[in-house]
Amino acid sequence: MSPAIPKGTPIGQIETSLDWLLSHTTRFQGAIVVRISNGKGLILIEYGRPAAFYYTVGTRVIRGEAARQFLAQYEFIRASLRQYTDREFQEAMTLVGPGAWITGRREEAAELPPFMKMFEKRQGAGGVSKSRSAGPVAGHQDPVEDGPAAGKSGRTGAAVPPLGVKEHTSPGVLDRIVYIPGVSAAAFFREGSIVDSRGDDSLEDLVEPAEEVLLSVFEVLALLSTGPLVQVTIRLFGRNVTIAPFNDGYLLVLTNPEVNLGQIRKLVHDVTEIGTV
Amino acid sequence: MTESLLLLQNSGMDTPAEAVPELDDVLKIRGVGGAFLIRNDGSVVIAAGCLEQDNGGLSSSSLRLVFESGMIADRIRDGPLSQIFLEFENSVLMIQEADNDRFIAVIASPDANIGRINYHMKRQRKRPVPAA
Repeated sequence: MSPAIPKGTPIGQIETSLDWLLSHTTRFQGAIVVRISNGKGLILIEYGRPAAFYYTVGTRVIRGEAARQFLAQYEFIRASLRQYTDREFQEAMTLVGPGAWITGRREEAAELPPFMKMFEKRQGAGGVSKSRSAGPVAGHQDPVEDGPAAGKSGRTGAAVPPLGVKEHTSPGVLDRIVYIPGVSAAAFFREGSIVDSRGDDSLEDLVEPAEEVLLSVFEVLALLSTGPLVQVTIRLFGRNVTIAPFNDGYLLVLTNPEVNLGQIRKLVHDVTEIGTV
Repeated sequence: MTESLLLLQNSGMDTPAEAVPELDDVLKIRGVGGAFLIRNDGSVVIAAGCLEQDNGGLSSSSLRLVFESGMIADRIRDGPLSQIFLEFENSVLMIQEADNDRFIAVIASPDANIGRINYHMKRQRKRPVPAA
């Protein structure tokens, strides 16, 4: 049976090796949900230190160091990262059980630097790890990932819509955005291609660099430990380009240069509200 | 109002003196947690307000972000990059070119006065470089 771990805050997905994952999750606290062929499992990270390993294939379960060694032999594992608060982390640790714990995790756990604590005040502790994939921001329906603590509220809901909000699809949102004064074009993209768009400009060429930008943003996110991404705005002298998570993809919005940051932030927040209704 | 300029003390004979923006000024703005001056090789020229964290990692990631954003600027052909504004749930990061080969990055809380930070960053950009 798979443990029903807390859902936490989805960060992103990635395909990489265990070594790479562990070396790039410094200051991260949360779960890495992994999938390899027909098996699945999770790694709990406590501020950059692997605290527990759990892996299951069918009815077989391996835990702790054995699970770690098993995962380490794969060159690529598919991983979804979920940031946890202290409470969620402890809940997950209890669910996987002592057999999955890596000995000495308490002693190894790093103290969160004071600077990072400054940004932890609203949501409790928890770093954010980087993902080298700007893939869907919504979590897939994995029995390991979805547990009783699912349905975390707040702005993060824009990235992970609760069931029943599918009426807020991108066409309706794009129609709203494109009529806002100063907006010249808007698109919804996912996994490297545009799903829908509005406006005069062709945005297809911007999807690839936008995804590259998102990769860099996730790197920054991993270092700042500052909660999920709300938006990125790239201000050019002749145009503003805004990328914001929406449902299982991202919105790409072009605005004229006279539109200021405050107006862009309001636009993004209004759209996010739509996504979380 | 008088202004003072900090000068980097370069030991190299051929290296000209460089004006270092007064990052302490931006820290006085409510909600600002830290500021960096990043060279285009990823090194941190100066950091203020957040010396405990991984400045090097943040500067190289910020620099990569600048380059990736430059790709968008190239594609869209609407002028050069002016500023990058990252908003996370608990903080914002603003990156702007300070001069030809350096960038200022400012970290603040989302409820900080973004307009004031913006103004300060633009002001730093216009500062004259003193003669060596």
